[in-house]
Amino acid sequence: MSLNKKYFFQTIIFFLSLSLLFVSLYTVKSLFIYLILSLVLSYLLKPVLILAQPIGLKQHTALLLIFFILGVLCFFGTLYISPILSSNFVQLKADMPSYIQGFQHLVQKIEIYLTELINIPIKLPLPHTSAEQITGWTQIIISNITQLTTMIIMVPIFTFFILIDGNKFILFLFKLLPNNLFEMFVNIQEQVNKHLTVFVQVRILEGFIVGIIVWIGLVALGTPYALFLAIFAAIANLIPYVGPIIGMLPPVIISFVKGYSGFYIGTQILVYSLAQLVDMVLLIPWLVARAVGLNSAIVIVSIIIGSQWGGVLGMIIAIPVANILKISLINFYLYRFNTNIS
Amino acid sequence: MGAMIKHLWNNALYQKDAIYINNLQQCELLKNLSSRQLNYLLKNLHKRTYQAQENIFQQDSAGNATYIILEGNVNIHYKDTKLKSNPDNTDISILSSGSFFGETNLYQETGSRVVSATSIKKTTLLSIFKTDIQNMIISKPKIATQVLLNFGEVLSTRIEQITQTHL
Repeated sequence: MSLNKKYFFQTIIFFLSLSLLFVSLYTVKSLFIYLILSLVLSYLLKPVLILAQPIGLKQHTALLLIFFILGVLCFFGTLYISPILSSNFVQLKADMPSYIQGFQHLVQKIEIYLTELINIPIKLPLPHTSAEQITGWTQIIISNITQLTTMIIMVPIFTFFILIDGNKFILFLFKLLPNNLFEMFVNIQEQVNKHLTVFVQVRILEGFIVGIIVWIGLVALGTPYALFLAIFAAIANLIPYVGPIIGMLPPVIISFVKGYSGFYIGTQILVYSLAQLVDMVLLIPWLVARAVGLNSAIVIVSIIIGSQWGGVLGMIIAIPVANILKISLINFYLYRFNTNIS
Repeated sequence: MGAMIKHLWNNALYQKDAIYINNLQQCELLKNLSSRQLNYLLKNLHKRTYQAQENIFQQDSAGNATYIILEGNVNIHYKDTKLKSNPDNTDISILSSGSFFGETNLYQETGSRVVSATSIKKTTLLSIFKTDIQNMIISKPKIATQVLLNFGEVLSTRIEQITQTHL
């Protein structure tokens, strides 16, 4: 077999194996989510593992020790947080119909106001679908809680193997590559790895900071379900640009429906803005300096595509996926055509 | 039982690893490393096998890996594209097991190769990238420090040689 033919077949086999891996993971959705969570956890634990190195602990022992400490922390954290969270959740579930009704009234009022203003009948599509969506979401959350136990067992196991044997798996996968693509793929893998490490660490830290500030602010303001809303804000914050606004909407809507004063709602918005400000001042310069930059227009397009493909999860993973594509394209041009397009 | 252990010990895989480690011990870049440390490198770095007359890398193409020859021979050659429109290949050297090449690009993000490398017969190489050294600084600091020291020594010898030829 000529060399070119060999390279061609090896490339096909490599991409087929990779696609097969992705398709099989994607078919078993729960496994796909466990794996993403494990990857996130492994990126978060890497720096802790590095800190454990100088003490002289072996990687296995250090990891087991970290898991043990994390387990204990989670156990006591859950003991403290779960009663607050479950009471928040039960209360929110009981109040939900009145909020949906109130929200629909609010939107109807806006529709009437707008119709009067521009003299054309306006019908906003949002309220009816969102009412169904909100009840749908609560059901999804309840059904997902039952899967939580499997997740609590599976994610640490996956994380352990990713951290211990991840390199061996990559060495094996790269053996399938033809020699002419080898250096290019090692560089892509290394740059993607660096990018994801920074992305995950900074994003989680951002969510954490935003969540804590929002929680403290809402508790101080006496807003109901403060913890639940803070967790929602922290998760929504993972979506660039629109995330902070999505995170701010529930408390504002609740306050509108409950008929709180404009000053109160303004203070709530101030709490969320303060969280964003702290996030921007503390973390964004670090993020921009270290991560591969993407054009704002590309970020928005990626988020829209991500939302169509996989909802909230799609929106969160849209940016790293777009970055991986960018890194791959830059390296492809560099290695195949000797042109630097970055 | 004893025979079984002997059989396992004499297994081709072990023998091959033993030969590779022996060749790695000859490498200037990896001197003063124990067999155990060399075995770690052998297990944790990318190993590539090239057929006879296969291109490892080409002059002017992008690349940043350094290769150590575990088995086989590599021809390092060069085309002076600046002087002639249709230049001939000039062989610079033929390297054998334990030699290394491609080290000029090791610390560059997007360096391009100044020479070409082609395998003469079936050749197995061990690759080292900058990231491998960065990772080892964290996970295996002793190995990383020794490799960096050796690299420094190689560089200083070369600078000395170049200075002497130009004085």
